Amino acid sequence: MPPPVSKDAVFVNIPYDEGFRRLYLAYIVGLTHLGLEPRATLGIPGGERRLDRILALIQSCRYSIHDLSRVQLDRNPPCTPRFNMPFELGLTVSCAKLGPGRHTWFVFEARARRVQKSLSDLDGSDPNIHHGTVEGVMREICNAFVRSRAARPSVPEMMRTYRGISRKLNEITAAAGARSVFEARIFDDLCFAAKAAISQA
Amino acid sequence: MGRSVTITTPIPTLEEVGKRLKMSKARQQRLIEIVRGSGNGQLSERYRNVSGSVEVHVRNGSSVKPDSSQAKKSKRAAAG
Repeated sequence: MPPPVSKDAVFVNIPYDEGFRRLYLAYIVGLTHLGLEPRATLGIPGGERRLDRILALIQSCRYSIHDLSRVQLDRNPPCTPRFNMPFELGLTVSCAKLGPGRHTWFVFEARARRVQKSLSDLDGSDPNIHHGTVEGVMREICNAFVRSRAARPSVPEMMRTYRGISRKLNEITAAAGARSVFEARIFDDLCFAAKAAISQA
Repeated sequence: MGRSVTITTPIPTLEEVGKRLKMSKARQQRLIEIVRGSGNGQLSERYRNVSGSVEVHVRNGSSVKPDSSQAKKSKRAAAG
């Protein structure tokens, strides 16, 4: 029995490493600006049940974003590509096929036409290209999720919030006693902090 | 793959977001204080004046008042 779907929840399937820090924050701020609820696998511990919990997380979200821009080899030994993102995209596509109308997924990439090579099974579908920039992520989030004109934030507004939160990132991390922004607690804190910054503007 | 979807659900309030994340009020308040600029929930703004020293103004509601402790510090630094 699949879990109930949260209609504002967006499963964010992205790499969790320092090289992706700016875009990680951009996804959190951008989605929060649109009144959506970013969700990630950060809080899910390893072990046998991890896969079940990832599946449950995907099924509980009405939408998902899969950023397939990290196609390089990881520099830390052993040097390998990261398969988690395409794997979780595969799980999502299966869930969407098995429960039509329950889930909509989006693929984001940094470079145009690269997905056609890295994941040719997606041929015929157009990913959202963000060019590896924060502004690009904001723009593509706005292209994917459309709100009525009155409730629609502009990309410059989203960028202002992003810059504000980015300046406070170390303070937010230190206040939680965390060592990295890629921890479940910090993810929640950033979602709340982004909302607080938006509410203040 | 979706091209675009139209979102019609209402945008949640800050309180609703805090509740959904199951955050304690204290943690919410701490984050609000960090985001809004100072430890006491006030927004501080820094200006560099003509002499090159930095002035910090604390925004309290709609009025902006110079922060006397910061002004003294920057004057001392400029003199020293």
